Amino acid sequence: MEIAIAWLPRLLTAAVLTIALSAVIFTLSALFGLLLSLVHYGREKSLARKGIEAFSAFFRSVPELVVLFLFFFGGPQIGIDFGPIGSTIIAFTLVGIAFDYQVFKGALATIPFGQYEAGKALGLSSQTVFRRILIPQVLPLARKGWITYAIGTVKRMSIASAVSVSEILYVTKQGIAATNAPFTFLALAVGLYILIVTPLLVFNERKPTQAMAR
Amino acid sequence: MSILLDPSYQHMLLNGLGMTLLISVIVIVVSNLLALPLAIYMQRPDGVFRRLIIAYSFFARAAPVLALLFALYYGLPRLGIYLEPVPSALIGLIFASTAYNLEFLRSGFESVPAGQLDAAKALGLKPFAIYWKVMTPQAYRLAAPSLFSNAIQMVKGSSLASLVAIDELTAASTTIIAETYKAIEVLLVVSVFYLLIAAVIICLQYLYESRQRLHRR
Repeated sequence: MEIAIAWLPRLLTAAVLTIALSAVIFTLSALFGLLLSLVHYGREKSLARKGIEAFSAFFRSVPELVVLFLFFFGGPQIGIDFGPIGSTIIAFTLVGIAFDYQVFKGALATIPFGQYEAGKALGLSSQTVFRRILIPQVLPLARKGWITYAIGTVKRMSIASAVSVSEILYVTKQGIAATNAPFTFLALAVGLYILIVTPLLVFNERKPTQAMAR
Repeated sequence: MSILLDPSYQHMLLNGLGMTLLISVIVIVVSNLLALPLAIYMQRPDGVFRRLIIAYSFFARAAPVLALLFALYYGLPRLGIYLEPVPSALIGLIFASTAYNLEFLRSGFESVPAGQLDAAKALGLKPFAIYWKVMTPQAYRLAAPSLFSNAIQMVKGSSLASLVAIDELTAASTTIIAETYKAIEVLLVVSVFYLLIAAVIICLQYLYESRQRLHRR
């Protein structure tokens, strides 16, 4: 118990880092995932869309650890040192975009294309149709899938311990090495992950307040 | 690319690929076999064992897989249990992925129309026949997309075993990188291997789904 109290400040700092990294990563992933899903809307066979699909298939099939190593070890090889935090943000954001793109694409597909055509017929610009008509309907539909992925992002941050990002599991490993009390530390670590994830889980179970596509 | 022509590195990568395939196949098969009876048991009314399953499922899905692997790798020896790295990693990966498969199958069972169960009972089928002949095939049809994409997640998850001393594909790549500093070449080759495994799983999914369509005609 004393060990746990002595290490608690370090673990809490690590938890803050985990939350900050996850927040940056899932904001960027959602933003770019949504934008990519709107590229060439209604022309899903275009070359640009095939490129995006290939990007998405690659980053959804290759393990996060391998993508992380690609930037962490591969960066310096071409003269760019991303560092542990930089590599983590880039690697997990790319994987996140690949998944969120699929979530938003699926939500967008449930909205009839006629809505876009009607907006255009009224003389609205494509941008206005996206911003005022499509996106407000896509967001509530995509929320569940997007938040489920965001919950996974918090847990996946543990993989960044492999490139010495001092998030929760990295500090836990140091604690185990220093004190030889694996269960105390792993229980604390898992407890912290559950604490971080629970608000998201509760939010995800709530019924959407906004009306669905009318 | 020249380092990839070195037979000793080729040998390391192929050995790693073999270990990745072995771990993935065992985890996919065992976790699916364990998830089915648990998902069927979840259809029963509330009870102690059912609550235990719910608690297990929550814990296994809330804890990062890597934390589970560390618990087995660093924790078990403290309890006087000495396992080889491979079985210890297999236990961790199976523990995590069974929970996900269980949830997908459970929602599959819950999505089978209630009339099916009533009709099967009314026909006088025994409980075993009700589940084996009526409920399970329909639950699988509904859960299949999630189960197949979870299988890809399990292949990806096997890369975490490299962090608990298992020489699978990702571990082979880090060893070669440490010797040659050719990270990009090695990691791209490794990525292609993972892509191919994912492609095989997706092909199996199409095969399963087209067979299902034939049956329904």
